This record gives sequence, structure tokens and C-alpha cells, in this order.
Amino acid sequence: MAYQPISGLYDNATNPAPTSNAGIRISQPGYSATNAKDTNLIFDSTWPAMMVVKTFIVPPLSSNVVLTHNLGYPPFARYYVITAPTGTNPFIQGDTNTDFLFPDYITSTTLSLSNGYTSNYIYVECYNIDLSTDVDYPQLPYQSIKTSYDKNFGIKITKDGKGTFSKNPDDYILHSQYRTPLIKAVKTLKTMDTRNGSNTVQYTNNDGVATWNFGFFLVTAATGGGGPRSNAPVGSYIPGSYPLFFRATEIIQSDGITTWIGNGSDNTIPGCLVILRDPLFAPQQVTAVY
Amino acid sequence: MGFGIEITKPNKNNIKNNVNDIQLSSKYPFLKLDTQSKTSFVTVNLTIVTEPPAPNGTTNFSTTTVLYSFAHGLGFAPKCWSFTTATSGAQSYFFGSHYIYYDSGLNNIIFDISVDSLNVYISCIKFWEYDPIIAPYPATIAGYAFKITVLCFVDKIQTV
Repeated sequence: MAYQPISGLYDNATNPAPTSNAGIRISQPGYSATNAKDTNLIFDSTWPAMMVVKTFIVPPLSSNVVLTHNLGYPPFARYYVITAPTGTNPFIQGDTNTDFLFPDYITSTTLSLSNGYTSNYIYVECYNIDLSTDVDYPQLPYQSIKTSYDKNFGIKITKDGKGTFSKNPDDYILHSQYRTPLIKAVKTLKTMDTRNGSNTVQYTNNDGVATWNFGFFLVTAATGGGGPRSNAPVGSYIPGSYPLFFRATEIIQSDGITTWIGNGSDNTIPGCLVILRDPLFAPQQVTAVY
Repeated sequence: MGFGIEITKPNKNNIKNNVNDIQLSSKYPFLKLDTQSKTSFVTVNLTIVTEPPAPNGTTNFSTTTVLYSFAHGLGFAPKCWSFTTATSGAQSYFFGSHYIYYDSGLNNIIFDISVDSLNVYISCIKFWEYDPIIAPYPATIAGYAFKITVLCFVDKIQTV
């Protein structure tokens, strides 16, 4: 719980997730799965990783759309704008005119998209991250090298109707050659440090590496105003006005290590910070000049 | 699907079929990055030395200029995430496509991260609207540097 100069505030208290020895661990050849350290494991089911639990394909629309996911919790979700669904033209990540990559609002049963993508399809994914539940997962050591993979060791689970000899990685549910961004924490007002004196959720990553940080506000009354989020129901989660963009004048701020979120406008309070980290292998470094 | 594998979180069962109680299930795919690929997890340190052109003129604000691209080698258009840090001269942190220069709505430059079945593209859109009354403000980013982390998953974007 360190004092952080970025905001002059304090981190939320930690709320460790329950742990268990049950599950699956697969070690690198030559190491015991019983006591191998994380860096010598190919796979460990206790690593909280991102599962895709619900998807939607939304055809071109001229108005807002509310999608029912019925997951029973407000999920972390994002979407992709598909500019050419049957060709090879770019699949744009986000709408460059409006900045949105996240739904306008998210509840435990629905999510809403707006903007009327009249010519583009939208692909939506919901993940196994509950925006309403405060939790911290164990810090895993950062792996600074790429370890080799031995195809004779590991685990493969294919999608229904696919074979385990497939060379198409998209055919697999789980494959120990492949890793995913890990879920580090979801921080809410539940663990706010009371010394902050106001509604502030703050998280500092102690790994010494940048994390992927996302802030959501919780709607406490009709948001009013205009824009796509004006219909957000009470109790729903909305991304900030610039949900993925951190700068000094925004309510969500980050220096890549410490991230905090304060009260929003339009009757909102901090909903949560979702903190993700890189997978457990080193990136390829590229230097480029334009 | 009546077969597969499932591991619940500690002290949970999945009698109620609540996905939030599951740690791992063969019913739900993970986002996957290939640990053996050089293009699945890339950090691009991009320096802008030459000012990108402004092909949009004064009426068209959608034409992009590719600043850097790399082949991902997957043969399909994958899910792709990016996180940009401006190491000098521009806004600080953002995810995906976003403004890298913003001035009063007339003078913007937007980073656009996109992908097709061959490549990942890091582009900019000069979102310059000429206003002869206020003044022409051609936004510039020469001299700026960016660190762009790209996660290129080995998972297809679902299409129609």
C-alpha cells in the first residue's frame, strides 16, 4: 500500500484470490511439476487467464443495439470493427472517429453498442473478468527470455470437431505453446484506502513492468447529458470519456505503473480498474523509423 | 458439448453453470499468443523523422498513411491488441486507435492500428480540417517517438 506521487493518493488494499493446489500444472522437460517455479512451467491452470465466454456478430446498424449476454456479472468486453467481412482489407481495431473499443455500457445481463455502424460489422467478445468483483491475483515473475517449446510435452484441447494434429492455432481452445494476457487485478471501491478521503481507486503494479490498465465508472443515477452513454442504466459500468487514454486532464490517469480513477461526471463513481499484464514471455523488440 | 475438461475456482463448483466460477473450461477458448513466434508479441519503437503526408486535403478525413507494418504470417485476420506509449512529444498512454495529437478539434492526428490476413499496420490519419478564418493548423508529428506493444493473437476474428 504505497504512497504514489502520481496522484498523491494511496493504493487500494489487496484482496487476494483464493488459492488451491487443485488443477493442472505442466512443467518444462527436466523440471518437476510439483515444485517447478512459474518460469519453468509450460502451463498452470491457476494462472488467471482470459477466456472468451460470449461472442456476438452485429450486422450493420443505423442505431444503438442492446445485446443480451446473461452471464450474471458485468463482463470485461471489447469489440472489433470489421470493415471488410469477406475480403482481406483491414479489420480496424477501433472506430477512429469516436475512440470506442468498449461497449457504451455493461450490466450483468446486457451490453450496449452505439454509433450506428451503417456499413461495418462488429464482432464483440465478453471475457471471464467480472467488473464488480474486487480481487488480486498472485504476482508472477516476468520472464525475460523466450523459452523453447518441446512439442512432446504439454497439453492440447481442440475446439469441437477439430483434431489435435491440426496446425491451425485457431482450432485450439487451449494449447501449452500459446499463452494469454494474464489477469492481475480488478480493483473497486470495496478496497479503497480511506485516507484518500474521496472516491478513488488506485493500483500500482509491483512487477516493474507496464500493465494494461482499463478504467470503468459505475452509474449511480441517470447520466443525463447527451451522447451514447446517456441511456446507461443505474448500476451499469461505462468506460471513461476516453476510456483507454491516459493524460493529465482525464479522470483516469496512469504512468503505466500506477493507475487511478476518480469520480466521473454525469452521476458516476469509480467502478473499477481492470489490470492486465503481458503473457509470460518476452516481446520481440523492433526499432523502426518513418 | 458433453465432453471436455473443466477446473473451477477454489471452493466453487459449476452446478449452476456460472462461468465466473470457472478457472479453465474446454468450452471457452483462451486468447492465445504463440510463444514461439516472433510476431505474436512485438514492441515497436517507432520514431517519426519525416513528417507523414496529409493526403486528406481539406475535405476527406479518412485516408491513412502507413508508418510501419509487419507480416504476422497467420494466413487469417487475427485478433490484435495494441498499447501505445509516447516516449516523446505527444500524448502518453492509449489502447488501440486513438488521437496522438489533438488541438481544438481542427487539428488532429490519429493513430490507427489495424490488421488483415497478411499484416499488422500502424498508420496515422491526418485529421486536418482547414479553416481559413481561424488559420490553417497543419498538425505535425515529426520528432515524436512511440513505443507500440502489439499482441497478435493466433485467434481469428469471427466474420459473417
